Amino acid sequence: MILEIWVVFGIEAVSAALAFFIVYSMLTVFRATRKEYLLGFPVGFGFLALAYLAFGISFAVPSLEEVASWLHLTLVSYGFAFIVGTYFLKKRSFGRSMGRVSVWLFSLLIVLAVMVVATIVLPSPMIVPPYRTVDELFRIANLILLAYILFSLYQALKDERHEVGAMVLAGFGFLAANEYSLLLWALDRGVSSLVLGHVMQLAGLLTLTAALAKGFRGR
Amino acid sequence: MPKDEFRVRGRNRERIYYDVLCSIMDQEKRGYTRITRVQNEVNLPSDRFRQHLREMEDLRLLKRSSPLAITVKGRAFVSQYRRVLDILRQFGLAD
Repeated sequence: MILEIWVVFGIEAVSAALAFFIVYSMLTVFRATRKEYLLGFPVGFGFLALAYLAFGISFAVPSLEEVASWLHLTLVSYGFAFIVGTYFLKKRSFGRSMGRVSVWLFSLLIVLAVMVVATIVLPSPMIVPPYRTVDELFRIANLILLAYILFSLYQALKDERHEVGAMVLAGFGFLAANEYSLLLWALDRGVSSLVLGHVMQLAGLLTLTAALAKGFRGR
Repeated sequence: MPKDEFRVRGRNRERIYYDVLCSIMDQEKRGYTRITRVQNEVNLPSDRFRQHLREMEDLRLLKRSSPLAITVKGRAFVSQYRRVLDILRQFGLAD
């Protein structure tokens, strides 16, 4: 049992490291282009990296399971929401300059994220329900967000046939499969869905990391 | 390089440098670089264009000799910026 816990923690630590690599790479892209809507990508993956660490902690430290699991659920959803924000604002920016609007939207999301995290971590009169009662709702919300990301990506890439573009699509596809497996795990708490979810998570992050590395190396 | 490459809404400084350097490289391939043709291709008013040229010369991205010439550092900048644009395109985030 202890070995299983440390395997899960190790996978989450590797996932967080990969997500931080994506954050660093996308910040480089943002610095070069200075388009505000691109900020959602590194911020989103930053939230995802913290969420993976929180999931690992929820397994490794039983006394923190409730708090860490809540943190994981909210951070993952915020992470995907920020990435959705990037694709949404990118579409809107074709028509007119959305610089200020995107900054406001992202600021609002950050404030909301901090408020939710503070509500969970700090002692407050608000009663937070056990995370297991809302786990599946968060997973369904994440699947909807990922469906929007995949749809936007497909729309953007359908006219171009790039190997790296296909890798990006596959990467987000794996992350969607990860969320679906974790939805099944939320319903049945079976080991197989948890293992499959983690395999998909690692596959998704590795694919996105490889796509970025390939892109930076040049074709 | 297609003309549409230069028609990007709300270009930042780096993007303008990239467009100027691409235009110079394109004209170098065709034989001779004319400053007015570069200015027309990157679609900038004369005062701003000359200011950018001065900045780019200070950064050693080009030489404002006659004709205009791109430096090794300028070529490296174009190559790196092109990779960034490729990444954006492949992530479905290009303009």
